[in-house]
Amino acid sequence: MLKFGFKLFWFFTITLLAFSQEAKLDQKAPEFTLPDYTGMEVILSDYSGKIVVLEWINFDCPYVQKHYNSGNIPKLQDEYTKKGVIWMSICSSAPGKQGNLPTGEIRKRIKEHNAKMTFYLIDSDGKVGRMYGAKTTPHFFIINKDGTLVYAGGIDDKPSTDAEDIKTARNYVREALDNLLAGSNPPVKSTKPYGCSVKY
Amino acid sequence: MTLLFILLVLISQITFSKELYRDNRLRIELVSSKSKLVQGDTLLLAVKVTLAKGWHIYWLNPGDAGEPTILEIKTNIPSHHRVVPTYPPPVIKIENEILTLEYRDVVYFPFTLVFPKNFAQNLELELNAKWLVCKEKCIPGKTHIKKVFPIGKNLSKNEIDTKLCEKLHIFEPDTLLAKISFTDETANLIFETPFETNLKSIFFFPKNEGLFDLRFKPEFYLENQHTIVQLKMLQYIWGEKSNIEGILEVTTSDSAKKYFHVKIVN
Repeated sequence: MLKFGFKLFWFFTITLLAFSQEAKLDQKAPEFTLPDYTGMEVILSDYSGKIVVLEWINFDCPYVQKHYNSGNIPKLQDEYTKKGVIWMSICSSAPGKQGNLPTGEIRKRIKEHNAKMTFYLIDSDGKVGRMYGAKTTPHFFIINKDGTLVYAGGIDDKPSTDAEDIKTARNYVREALDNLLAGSNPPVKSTKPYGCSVKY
Repeated sequence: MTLLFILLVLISQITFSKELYRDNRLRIELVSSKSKLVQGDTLLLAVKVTLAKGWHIYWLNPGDAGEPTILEIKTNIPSHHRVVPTYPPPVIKIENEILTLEYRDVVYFPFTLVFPKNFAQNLELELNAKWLVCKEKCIPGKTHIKKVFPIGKNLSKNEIDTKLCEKLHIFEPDTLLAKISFTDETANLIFETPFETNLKSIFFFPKNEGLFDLRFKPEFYLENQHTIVQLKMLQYIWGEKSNIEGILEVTTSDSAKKYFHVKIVN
């Protein structure tokens, strides 16, 4: 009984520590487990050895719509998942808030936009969003092959809802991924994230 | 040909006769403390933004989300061709981890124009404004407003809006110079002048984005006759650690608030 209690104590302590850990650049990205919208459980550490993109998403946010309606993010997803990158789109919208969509609607939006994320993860209690300090949709975090958080910030340097700006914007996510795939670090580690506030 | 000319003149009038912007969420207009200007006079004006209930726009540093409200004013006075109005201190809102610096209800962005004695024409102002207005969703907006203030000879008492004058004079901060030093997690603002003792609180609104975490109330203390205000850095720093400036709000023991414009000199 005592051994069981001891094990239970450590289980809760480690779980609590895992979720209370704040993400920091140049340090190991905090572990998490989240369900995909299809119901499948996704564990971050299962993708150790791969480059992982975490993209905070809300399909009803005009900034996300700018990048999805124009095909900007779906093209990035397609291009880089074909190169072995794992792309996790994460929705931390709380139930009843903008962006928290039923499964059928998520499926419809993914198909409409021809989105190619590897997973669309549901974080409706916001634990993972808070752990990573996700503030906006979109907000990007990139983890390198050894599990270190190497980029946190916006998709590009033009914080607007105008799709015309995409053509002339500096795409930080593309830059980071190209550098990582070539074996070097992103030239810029942290940039301004822009978009709608995450609807915790 | 004459008809075309008249049509073109009319169209240009329509384009430039827009004196205010209004939609369901906000109204933007140029207001003046005096109904006409007098040669050699000083005129206190403002961009007035009136927001519908529940809607807000953002300060120069919007915080974790949102976009800054940009106001650019052009005048036909040669010495004041471009003017940037004063941005009053914002309201801090924290909702579900997201911290934003906002304006709600009615906001005045004042600016002062001094008329040269040889300026003998009507004052023409043009405002280019860009904003993001939010409630549960966010809607970007922009407008171009033009307003003419007539020139006159003498000003009577009822041509001066004293209530508006009082409102516009509320926020006129003195400038304080300070130095700054950084560690990985904190920054110290170092003021050479010691502040009065037994202050209730101090708060710093940085105009620079991407540096300081405003969730944490700054610590402040006296050291070698300098007042030190310690700020916490953001989880992810993306802003430049140079040309830092902002507004310092000092709350005295009797809860009165004083404001200072702070400029960092190192």
